[in-house]
Amino acid sequence: MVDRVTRVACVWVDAFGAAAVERSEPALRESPLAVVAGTAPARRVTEANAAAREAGIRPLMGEAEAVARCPALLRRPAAEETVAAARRALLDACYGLSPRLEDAAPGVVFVDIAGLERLFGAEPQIAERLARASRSVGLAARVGVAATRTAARVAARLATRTAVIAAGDEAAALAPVDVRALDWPPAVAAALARWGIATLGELAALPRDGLAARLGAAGLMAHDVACGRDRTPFRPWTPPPFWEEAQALDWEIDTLLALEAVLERVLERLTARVAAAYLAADGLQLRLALLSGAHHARALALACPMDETRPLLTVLMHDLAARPPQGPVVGVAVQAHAVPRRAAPGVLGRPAAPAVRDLATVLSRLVALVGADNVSAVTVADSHHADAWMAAPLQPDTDAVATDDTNVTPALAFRRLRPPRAVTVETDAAGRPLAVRGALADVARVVRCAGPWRTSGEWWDADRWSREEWDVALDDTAVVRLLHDPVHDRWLFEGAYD
Amino acid sequence: MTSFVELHAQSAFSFLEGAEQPETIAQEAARRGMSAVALVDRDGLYGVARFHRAAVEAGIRALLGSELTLADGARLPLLVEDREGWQNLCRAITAAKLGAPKGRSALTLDDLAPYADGLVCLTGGARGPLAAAVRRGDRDGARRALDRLVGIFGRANTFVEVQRHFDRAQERALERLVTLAREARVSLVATNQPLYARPGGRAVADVFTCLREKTDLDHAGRRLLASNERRLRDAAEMREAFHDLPAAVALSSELALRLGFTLKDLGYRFPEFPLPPGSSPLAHLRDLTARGVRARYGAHGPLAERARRQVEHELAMIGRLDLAGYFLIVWDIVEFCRTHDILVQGRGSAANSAVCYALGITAVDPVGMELLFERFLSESRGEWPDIDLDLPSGERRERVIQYVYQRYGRLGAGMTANVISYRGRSAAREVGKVLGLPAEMQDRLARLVENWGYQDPEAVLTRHLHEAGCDTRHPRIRKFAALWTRLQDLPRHLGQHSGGMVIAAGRLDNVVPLEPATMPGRVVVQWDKDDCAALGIVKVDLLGLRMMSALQEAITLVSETGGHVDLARLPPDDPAVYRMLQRADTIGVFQVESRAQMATLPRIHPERFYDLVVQIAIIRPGPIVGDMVHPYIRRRRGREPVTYAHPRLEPILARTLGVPLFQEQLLRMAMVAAGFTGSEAEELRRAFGFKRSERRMAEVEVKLREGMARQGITGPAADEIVHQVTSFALYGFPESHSSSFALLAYASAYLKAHHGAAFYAALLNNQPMGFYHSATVVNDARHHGVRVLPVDVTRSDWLCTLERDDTERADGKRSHDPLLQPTHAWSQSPVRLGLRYVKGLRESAARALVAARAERPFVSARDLASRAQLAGDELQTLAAIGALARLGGTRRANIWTTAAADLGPLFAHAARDEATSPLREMNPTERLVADYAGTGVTLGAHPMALRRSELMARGVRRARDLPAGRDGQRVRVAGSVIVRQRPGTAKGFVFLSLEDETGIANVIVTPGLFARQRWALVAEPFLLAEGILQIQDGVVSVRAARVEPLWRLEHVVPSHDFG
Repeated sequence: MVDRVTRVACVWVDAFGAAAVERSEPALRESPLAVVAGTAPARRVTEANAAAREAGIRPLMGEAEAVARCPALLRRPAAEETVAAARRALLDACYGLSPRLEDAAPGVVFVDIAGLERLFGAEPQIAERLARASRSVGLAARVGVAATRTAARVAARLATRTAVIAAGDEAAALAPVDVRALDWPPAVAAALARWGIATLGELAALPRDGLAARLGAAGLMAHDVACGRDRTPFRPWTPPPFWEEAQALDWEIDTLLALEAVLERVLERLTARVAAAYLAADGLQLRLALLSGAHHARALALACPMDETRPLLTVLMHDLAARPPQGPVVGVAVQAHAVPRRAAPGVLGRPAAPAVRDLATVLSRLVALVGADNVSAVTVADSHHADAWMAAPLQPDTDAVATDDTNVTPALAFRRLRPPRAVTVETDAAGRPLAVRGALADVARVVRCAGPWRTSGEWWDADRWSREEWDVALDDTAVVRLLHDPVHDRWLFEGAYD
Repeated sequence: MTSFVELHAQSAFSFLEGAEQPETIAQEAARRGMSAVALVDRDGLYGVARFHRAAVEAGIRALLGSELTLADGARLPLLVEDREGWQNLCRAITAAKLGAPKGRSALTLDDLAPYADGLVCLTGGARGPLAAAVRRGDRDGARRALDRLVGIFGRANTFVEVQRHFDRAQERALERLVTLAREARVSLVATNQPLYARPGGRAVADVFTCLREKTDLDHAGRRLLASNERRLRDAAEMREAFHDLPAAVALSSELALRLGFTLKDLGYRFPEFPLPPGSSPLAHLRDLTARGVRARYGAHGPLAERARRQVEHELAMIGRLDLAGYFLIVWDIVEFCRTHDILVQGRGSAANSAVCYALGITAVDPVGMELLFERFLSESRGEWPDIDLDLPSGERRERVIQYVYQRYGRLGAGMTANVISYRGRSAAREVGKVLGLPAEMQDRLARLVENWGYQDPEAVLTRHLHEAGCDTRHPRIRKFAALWTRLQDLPRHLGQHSGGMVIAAGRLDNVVPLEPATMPGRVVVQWDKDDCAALGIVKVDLLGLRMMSALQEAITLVSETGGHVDLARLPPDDPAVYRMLQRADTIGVFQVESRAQMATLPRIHPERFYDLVVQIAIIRPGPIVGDMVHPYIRRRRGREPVTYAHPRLEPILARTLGVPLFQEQLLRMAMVAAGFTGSEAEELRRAFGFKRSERRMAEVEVKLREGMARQGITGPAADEIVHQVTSFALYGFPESHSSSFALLAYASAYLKAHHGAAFYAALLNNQPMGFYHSATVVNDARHHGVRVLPVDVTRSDWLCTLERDDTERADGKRSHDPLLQPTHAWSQSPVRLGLRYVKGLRESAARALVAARAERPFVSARDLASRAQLAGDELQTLAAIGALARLGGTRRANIWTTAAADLGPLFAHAARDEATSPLREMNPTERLVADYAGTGVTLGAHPMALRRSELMARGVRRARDLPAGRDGQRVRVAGSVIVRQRPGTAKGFVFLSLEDETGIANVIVTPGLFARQRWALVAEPFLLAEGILQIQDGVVSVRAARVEPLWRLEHVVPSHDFG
């Protein structure tokens, strides 16, 4: 059943992927820009902005050809997040004019404008307002107005900025439009080219049954487009729930203690809503309105999703303690980034992990102390270097690192010095250690030694390393490990065997 | 002092694992004082021939073996003790290769049991069959595995291999291995299993690890080597490393003494040719040759007499070299071709042999042309002669190959391998990837290195990389330079040679391991053709040549239309052929159709067969680089006197007007001027040939000068001769080869001149071939008055055919050039394009269509759709190109009708009810686009003809009108770009061929213009060029000062770009 939208505007952003990139990097607006996808050498242009198209850059063109055609071409990889943010921004912009929208595709929004004349004036003014609203969120949209979404969409694509098709003029307005100006499914595009169909008028003139017989549902859809008819229902877009709780204050707060009490109430409301939807917060945004008119805004990523008030409050308070607002607070707003809640079953045979809230508390303290960039987990790197490690994001639920070193017969315990201590070693002609100065005793003679155990690596980089390990028994009965570093020609005392 | 022999060295023929050439291992082993070294590559004996040669040169013994991958992934090193062991190893590898899919092994220890004799088994390193159990501490498992090996190979032939790379875990395993060996009473032998022999090899091995594991150095982690210890160690290093196990080191050299097999003892036997009772191979060959001489030269006359003398000379040498059987085998293959209607022609140096000519192996008369036999066969070389047979490519050639398999047994013959090695671009790309360089830099480096050639790393680093804008202080860039240089020529994987076949008496897999080829029914030997030749294995090259297929098809088509052509009896001096050649009217003519050939033909102005031989040889890098082309042309045109560097050279160079053009002339010059023997002259050619070495070249040059001095040739004359000889040896074309090609060129020109329809039909059936795309061939046919008819579902076969029906004309136009008029009535048959030209139409569907039509004619498009079982897209394409026209309806109407053809019964009525098509008919441009899109050719108007009035308004001349212009005049030409070329010898000049409706205009683009308008010149399908008209000796070209892109069609017009 087709609902009866009488007047509809289509807000359309050309080359939306490129427009989304320009929105996030406004400095690129005047330059030829292409969004590229794939891996070299098969990387291809997926979208190009107007300046790039003027230079002859087209979608599906190979990157190498594109650069050859336009040496000044800037390229950016396709990024889903950028496009999603821009899509949402466009919807938000349109939502300011009409509550009834359809999110048809990235960069295509249908706006039900029936009845808006009384608020915003005639249709051209409404179209202009929509165009301005889009520009205000960084997207240069074109707006078409017609009695059907299909016609409005075509009108938007052909408009330089706004275009209005009067009621009843749809067929006449669409007839001269070049079919190549629209996006068709590949099979339809190929058939239209083969049939020599140049305009929407010619397409509309084809027998509908014949189209159905040859192209099936896609043929009927194409015919509808040509005739400017809507066959699908209007699917209204509703903004996703906004997980925010705010509190305006009648008085000024100038202590953290007082602020904590307000925040606790705000968080209680927020967590109740979030938990009721079987969600949890994995990030918080705090926005404090200050008496001065300024705002204190903080975005906090959480170590794991939570839906309890206390740990969230602790996190916020630690952050506020580290970075207090610059003046009295007159308004509080907390926004949660909600994600599905995770079940966390315990594992038999493993020591109980710290409670999520305790871990989160510790982490938030650490972050407050040293900064978010300096908190991560250490993991063993895949390297022949005995001390190789790497920083990895902290994942509290990660299983213990499995080891396949089951064949190693437990031998002596080894106490390592971190970092190893520089020592002086006397060697024979073959480089075998004879005496050590500065290990456990001042001077010790080597009684027996085993080695060297040689490893080296990263020869391709500035961090080239080489190690020669010697296990030596000293005359003072100690058994120690000495390390010779041929790259820097130095000896190190690495530890002792028990 | 304990000596040591490395028994487990692995070269780069352990593909993507070892990091040195086999030669380097041999040389380094000799340098380090080893008396022998064993090459034990993974699953093959790929490198042993080269290793053997290098070891002989280095004065050490080459021990051979291979490390076989077992089904459980373990690798078992086996060393060859004697010939039986060699045969067993070859057969075991063959069984493993032929018995499992590529890259996997199904070989178990039990499978190895029948092949154990003559082989010595080591227990391997970290991937050996004992290693896993030993690492686990599973003493019983390790003991069982060792006992199994002892059971198969015997206690005396099984050795527990110990290695010490200064690794803690390995040391623990070593202790267990020593205990195990003592308990099992098996001897210990020390090896180091080196992957490289020179400093820096570890980096190459790590790069290979990354390539094998499809990762980069930053992510390869512990898959890389742990240290620099997998190098070739000398005795002192091994003694020190195994100071506690000196016997294990000592045993390596004792064991080496036992391994007595060398490749000299390969056991290859040449297949015996079945002879008439009481005859010997030489006597039988003499009989066949005598018969051939009578047939070729007649019984009397001076030429016949000379031929008989030459044949006697050759047969005597063949007898001394015991090669009669070889000639009989090649003759047998040629006979098979002849009796099975397969064109065959020997090429290469075999054309120098009167015996080959008499046997019908070659078609050029070496006696009449005074060709040099020593270029083909020489007593001092000790090699098999090289006979290459050109065959029609495709199914006919495959029949010949299968005949050889059938004649000598499935395991008695095999294709030679082709080792694919790292070269500039591939090495740059892979090294860049492994070093984790940004993708853009990888691309840039890969493009750059193409021009670098062989350089030492410092030169690459300091000059080229710096010029390329790379920061040469960066460690990874420095490593790139070193690794790129080091990777050059290292083998990457094994391919199959295009046509080289080797054969053996009995089983070839007793001599060399065989592997399955990608093509079913074929096997490949693990050695390339040079290795086979060096080891004395008979090789015959069966090369596919599309022109041979085209000639064969053309002759068949001529006979089907009532004519007759015998290639062996073509009139030798046909005026029409030479007129055509002189006008450079050579599209489709073998070897002389390229742009460069066309630009030279009018200047050389061929008037007899030998001129054609010269013509083919002159457009080659040798004469061009050696600056021989212009002197020859000036002398030919009488603008320069014919002179000789020395009077003694006159008999040799007289035929080429004093300018050396052929390799044979070079040999003769050395023989006459410096007193070289035939063999010495051939040695000179090789010294300056592709595998040149500075040392050898210098030695030979000294010898050449000394020889000339003895003959009294010194000073400038000697310098000139040295210059000619040395600059020419690398690229010079053999006269024999050129003569063989000239025969095919003459034959194709003859067919083009006299049997155009058959010639073009055959040419179109063998596309892609030659220099031009089908669209240009079709246009050329039409310029010559040959009518080409479009694809028609009521007439077309899969292939293009000749039609007797003369009622239909494609364009209604005929050529008015009297020289180009066909000379026989039946050659006016039009060519019907075959269904093979319909893009996207499956051959099986097309053949089903032809079969359905044979049952009864189609009456409508719908009838066709229902009876031919074509897919929807296939029908639509046929309709779009007008192939359904005879069934009624226009192209668009048929497109509309056929688009609904595959409806199910439920909806079929909807389409049936339509009385007429609602679509507008195609205009000429749309038809053109549909033709190009559907077939790649158009039989309608040329794209340029459609815009001619517009072009005329802009002062653009037609290609045909250019010769009427004035030299030096400024002109504009335009056309579809059918050829773009930038030859390496042209100093950056680019040559374009622009085709319009009247012919082809040649445009020369300067490097500066190319730099300014690179993209338009490289990518635009239609160009307008403005510049100076150049007319010289009938060669017409435009030197462009400006180019401009014209319109684009919706479909790409094919062109031959930079090929």
